[in-house]
Order: sequence, then C-alpha cells, then structure tokens
Amino acid sequence: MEDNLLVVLGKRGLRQEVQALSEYNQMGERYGLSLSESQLSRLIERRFAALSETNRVEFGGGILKALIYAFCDSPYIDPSNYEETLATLQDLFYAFKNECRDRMTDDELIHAMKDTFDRRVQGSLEALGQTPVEDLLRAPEDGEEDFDDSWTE
Amino acid sequence: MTAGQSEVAPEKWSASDQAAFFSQLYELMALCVRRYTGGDSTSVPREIAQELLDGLLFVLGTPVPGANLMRQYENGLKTLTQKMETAKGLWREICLDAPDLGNLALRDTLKEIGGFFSRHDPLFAHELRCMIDYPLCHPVSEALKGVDYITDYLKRLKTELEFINAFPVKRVRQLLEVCCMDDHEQLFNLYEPLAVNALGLALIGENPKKLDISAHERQKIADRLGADWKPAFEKAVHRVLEALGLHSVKAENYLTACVQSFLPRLKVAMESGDLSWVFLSVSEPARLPMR
Repeated sequence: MEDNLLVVLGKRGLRQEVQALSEYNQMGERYGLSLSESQLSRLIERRFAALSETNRVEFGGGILKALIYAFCDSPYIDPSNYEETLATLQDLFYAFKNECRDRMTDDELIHAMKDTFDRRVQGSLEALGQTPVEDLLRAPEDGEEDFDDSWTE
Repeated sequence: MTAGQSEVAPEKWSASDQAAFFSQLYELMALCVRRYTGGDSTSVPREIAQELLDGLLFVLGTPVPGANLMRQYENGLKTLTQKMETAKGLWREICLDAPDLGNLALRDTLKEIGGFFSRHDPLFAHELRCMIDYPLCHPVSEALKGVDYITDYLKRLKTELEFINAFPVKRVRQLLEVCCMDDHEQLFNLYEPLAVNALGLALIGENPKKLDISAHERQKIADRLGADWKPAFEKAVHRVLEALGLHSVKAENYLTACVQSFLPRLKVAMESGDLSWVFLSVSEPARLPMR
C-alpha cells in the first residue's frame, strides 16, 4: 500500500473529476467535440501520469477543464484527434510549468499555448512541444494579435 | 521527514472515519495550494506540495476521528498566532536582559530569531526560517518544529542567561576568556563552563560566585569526590542555586542536567589525574580543547 500521504491525497479526486469534466464536455459539443466517460477517465489517468512524470502535484479540479475551454474552438482539433490532442496538451502544460519555474500563471500559459498552437505551429503538437517556453510569450509577428510579453526570466 | 498515511490517520480508526479525514484533508490541501499560488495555479512542484502538507499537518495538530478538519485548521491557526505572540514576548524579554559578553553567536542568533517572527508564513508553519547558531547546554529536540522549537529554545536560553546574569560580569568575562581562544567569535555555550566551576566551588564549600578555581582548590575537589559522586553533586546544585538566588524548578532541573552531561568528562579527567581542563582557572589558565 502506498504510504506516502501526498501521493494518496493527489489521487483522491478521480471520481469527482470525471463528474466535473462531464459538465465541460458540453462546451466542446458546440464545436462537434465530445468525450465519452471512458475517454474522460483515460485523460484523467494520463493527467496523473503527467504529474508524476513532471514531479508535480495538483489539488482541486485539475487543468483539463481549462484546456477544454481554451482549445475547443481550435481549427486544428476535430473529433478524431480530440482525446489525444487534449492528453498531449496536458502533458505539455505541466512540462512548460516546470520550464518556466511556475512564473507563468495557468491562464497565461494556456493562452500562450493556444496562440502558438493555432497561429505559429498550425496545430502541430510536436512543434508546440519543441517551442522554448520563452518563445511562448514572444512578441507577435506583423498581423498577429498583440499579447503580453512582459514576463521575462 | 514526511508524513505517511498511517501516521496521520491511525489504522485503528474506522474506515469511514479514515475516508472522511482524507477527503477533508484533500480539500484543505487544495485551499493551501490556492493560497500559496494566489489562485494562479492548480498544480505545484512536489517539493512545495510536501512542504505545504507538512505545514498543514503542523497546524492541524493531533488528528481526531470524526472532527471537522476545517474548524480544526482554523483553531490551529489561532493557536499558532497565540504561540507566536508568546514566543515573541519571551524573545523580547531575553533581548532586554541578555548579558553583554560580546559573544557574536548569541547576538546573531537573537537577531535571527527576530527575523523568524517577521518571515513566518502560516502555510509553512513547520519551518524554522532562521539560523540558530548559538549552542545551548541542553539542545532542543529536533522533533519540535517551527514556533514550538523556537519557544523551547528561548525557554532554555532564558534559564541559561538568568544563571549567567547572577554572577559578577567581570568574573564571567575572565572565565570565558580562558575557555577558548576567542570567546567572542567561537561557537560555544556560555552557561556550561560557569556551571561546572560554580559546582566545583560549591563541592568544597567555597563561594560559587567566585568562579575562579586555583590548582589547590582543584586538588580539594578531587579529594572531595569519593566513591559516590551523586549525593555530593546534588548538594552542590542546591548550594549553587542558593548562592545565586535562583529558586525555580527550571533552574534546578537545568543545572542537574548539566551535571549529568559533564560527569563522563569528569570521570575521564579523574582517571587521568588532571582536572585542569574541567575546572578552569583564571589565574592559572590551561587552554580548554574545544569540543
């Protein structure tokens, strides 16, 4: 039995999370995207794996619903790649949080990831993953919408 | 040391009590993470999460089955505030009464403890956010955390400084100068050499406040220590405290504990026939090897 209290506590939200995420599912349905309960469970399990991989701990709802909210209108996501895209975005999110040493808020990071995903890397998760974290907040090129690049390392 | 599941919620609790406890603890951890990140992040690095958990458990105190943990946490925070006020009051008293002996470690430690109060964060209440260099004659248990450690340290320090203050300051300075090469800079306890010399003088019926022990008096001490040292030192403890006007149980217990800790050193010295580095002479100094 896992005796480390932190690990035990971190996994206790699973049941509540599946229920909470089902509500956010409705948001994606407007764009023809939805996740079954088994897909949600897989995403949550993948979240625990990503947290473990990046040596992070999360309490409360987790980042998945914020990712669903931010990315559901992306032109590069469709029903065939929805689950895997969210899973990879989740992995990348926690990795980026470590890379920026938590100096970016969740909202700032998700906004920067979405902007990069849609505008710069044309939906390529691989390219997004290879983007240095400081470039996520690089000043926009001509024609792109300005965004806050006041964060510096 | 991190808390394990069985240490926090004892296995003898019912399954429902354990489940309720962990469910509430989860919510409290979520609250602590929100407070730590200002609501800006749902996740934190594992090391931070562990520290937040340790801080939370420190404030909660002993878990009680069936308890409302949020209420227990709020009460714990109030208790923490009271403990901090008590400790701060104790620190202020010590700062006002501390003898001026020029010992840098004591001075810097008191300054650092002042910093502890300003740097204190209830989210990390278990931490000791200060450097405590000045060594006590009887160190605080490492099992104590945060303000509990500080309070115990200050109580012991107060007992030591009250003892030191009872001697004429000139004689204290003279004795400490023979204690080590640089009694201002080096890290050593000021109480112990005074206590040992005072006890030695009391053993042979001399005034403990004199502090200085001559070679002749050292020989008398050696002659005085017969087969059973315990009753002799028990009487010496009372004579010292009487001479210094210290009547508290705390002072007596502390001096008695000092006797226990230096007896092995005395035994070795008696066997070697040289007590000059146990009972110090101001007039005939023998440099004490720093332990």
